[in-house]
Amino acid sequence: MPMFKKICANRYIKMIRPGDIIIVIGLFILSFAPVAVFSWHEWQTTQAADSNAPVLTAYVKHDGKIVYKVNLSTHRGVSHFTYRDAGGDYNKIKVIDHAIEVTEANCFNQIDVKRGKISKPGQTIVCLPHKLLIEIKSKDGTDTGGMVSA
Amino acid sequence: MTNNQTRKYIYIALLCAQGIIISLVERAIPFPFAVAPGAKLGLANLITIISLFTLPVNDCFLLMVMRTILSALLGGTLSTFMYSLAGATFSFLGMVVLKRFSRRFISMIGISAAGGLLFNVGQLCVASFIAQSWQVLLYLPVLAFLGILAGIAVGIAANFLFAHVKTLTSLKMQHEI
Repeated sequence: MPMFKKICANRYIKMIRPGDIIIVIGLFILSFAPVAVFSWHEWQTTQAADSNAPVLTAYVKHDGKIVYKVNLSTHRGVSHFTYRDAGGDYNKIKVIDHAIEVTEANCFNQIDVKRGKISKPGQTIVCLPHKLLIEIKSKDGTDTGGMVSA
Repeated sequence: MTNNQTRKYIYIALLCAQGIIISLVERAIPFPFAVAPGAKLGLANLITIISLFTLPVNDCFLLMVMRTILSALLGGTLSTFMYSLAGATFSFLGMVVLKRFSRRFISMIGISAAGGLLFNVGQLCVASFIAQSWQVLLYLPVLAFLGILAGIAVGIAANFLFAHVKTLTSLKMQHEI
């Protein structure tokens, strides 16, 4: 009986040539090629997306004219800007890291102060009494959440 | 001369009929692996292997196309026909190339394993063309694993056939001369 088994095993082994083993292993590796290509491609696209992440810029405009702008994407720390016009109206603007807010103003309704911080493209702070508008735009000018354009 | 020609056509017709029967029977087997819908054993690949070793390449191609069309007509739909035609063409080309470049180095086992994998590649290419997304190809490893195993089994079976069926042995000898 053991002898019979040995013959059987021999018959199978004799069939196999060295090329077969190489081929089969190669095919198994080859079958994972699409997965590798896809993950490589995915990695590439994420890299590309990281490198051209939108640059956000905050514009402070009075009556349509830009009076101050700051690059929010690269901004670090705290900086201040105060807008004053001839009539004594003022708005104190504070930029903290990637967000911008109006901290103090002498307009009557204080809506700009109550609005708080904004940091996303398309967001705006409006002070109608002073005709002042703060808006955030991404680099190519598209504002993603921009339902409201004052 | 004519006698030889007739003999060859009868042989092709016989192989074709056997291939169709094999694929019909195979379709009747309920597939046990629920993880991989679309995977099949590819037993009809056995016929392609036998023809490759006993007939000239253009006759093999004719046989392969006839077999695919007829088995689709007898028990398939248009979509299965497209899948299996693409798969069969891919695996046929792959097997021909492998057979050319490997006189003694690769046996039928390697050739039919390659055929099994390439069948699945062709199938998935058609599927991804239909679905218009290359994501479908990510399914390849699952199918290919089963396809390669089935290919190895088919290769072993072909080896046994050539060892034990005298007609095939002599035809193979004639072909190799």
